[in-house]
Amino acid sequence: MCLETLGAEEGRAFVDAAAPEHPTLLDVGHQVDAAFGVINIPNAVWVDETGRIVRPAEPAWPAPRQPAGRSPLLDSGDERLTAIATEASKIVSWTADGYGDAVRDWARHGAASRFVLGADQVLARSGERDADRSAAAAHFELAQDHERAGRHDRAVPHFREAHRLAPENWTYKRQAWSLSGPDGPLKRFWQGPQPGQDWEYDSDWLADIESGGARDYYRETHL
Amino acid sequence: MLLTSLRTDIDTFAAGTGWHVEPRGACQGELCVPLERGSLDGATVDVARVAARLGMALVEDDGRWALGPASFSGQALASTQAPHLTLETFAGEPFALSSLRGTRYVLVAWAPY
Repeated sequence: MCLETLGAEEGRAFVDAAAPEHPTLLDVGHQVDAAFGVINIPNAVWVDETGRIVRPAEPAWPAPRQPAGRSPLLDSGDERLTAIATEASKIVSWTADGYGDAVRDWARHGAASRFVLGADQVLARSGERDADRSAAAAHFELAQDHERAGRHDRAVPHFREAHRLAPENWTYKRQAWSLSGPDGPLKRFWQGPQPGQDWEYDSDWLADIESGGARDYYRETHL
Repeated sequence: MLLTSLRTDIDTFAAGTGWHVEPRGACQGELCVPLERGSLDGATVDVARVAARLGMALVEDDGRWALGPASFSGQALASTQAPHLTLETFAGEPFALSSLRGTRYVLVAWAPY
């Protein structure tokens, strides 16, 4: 499921390259944020054959996230991209090791899989949501609607309010930053101001990760 | 969900929030939250009353409202029942997650940003 305010074209190249055999959906409203508690990507949710959630939104990768070898961003020669790649290498990918094996175990054993969580655990692990988080979602929805209608100036205050009310929600921030940064192939990595640019937000990806710490980038989760 | 009125029909409210407003309360799967009298008038939902009970933020913006998700339980999920979302495929076809009932599935959220 692709989360992208601006629609299918932003994600189509990734879908074409992956050529998946499973359904590939588009979530222009970030509805999975509100409905399932997704606050960063990649995240996955397990739903059993009766429609029950047996693992709530959590960081998820089909393979170990950091393969051997250097990120090409480290060799870009650009100071910001180098710093981003350096910080990204410090991110703790809580469930990266063994996540694919856990999915396969569930596929084989269903409810008997040791990775299936009880209802109380599912709810407890789904993440905190208070009145501020609910208001953040409402502001984010307004921001997206303004953005899609070409009213960027009216979208920004709602994005900013969503960021203030739910500072742990990286999809709110990364989506907004990607709409204000540079166009082109670096757009998804840049996530902040270009040199000399008046930035519309109080933070950016690099500033946030440097101040908050890469360890907390993904909510701590264990298989 | 976005609203131009604070009174809407039960089907629209359910499609936008995942909560079915019934005489016994606001329900999601087997979980039902009792509502204040007057929250439901026939098939019409008093959005402000239901929102207040479920902890859904209402943010006004130039004559319309955005309704945030329920927060009364303190957690993102109040029930383990998977929400009934209908989204589009990249081919532009509607796809209801409920069509996967009977199958175990992993919903993977990713983004191009």
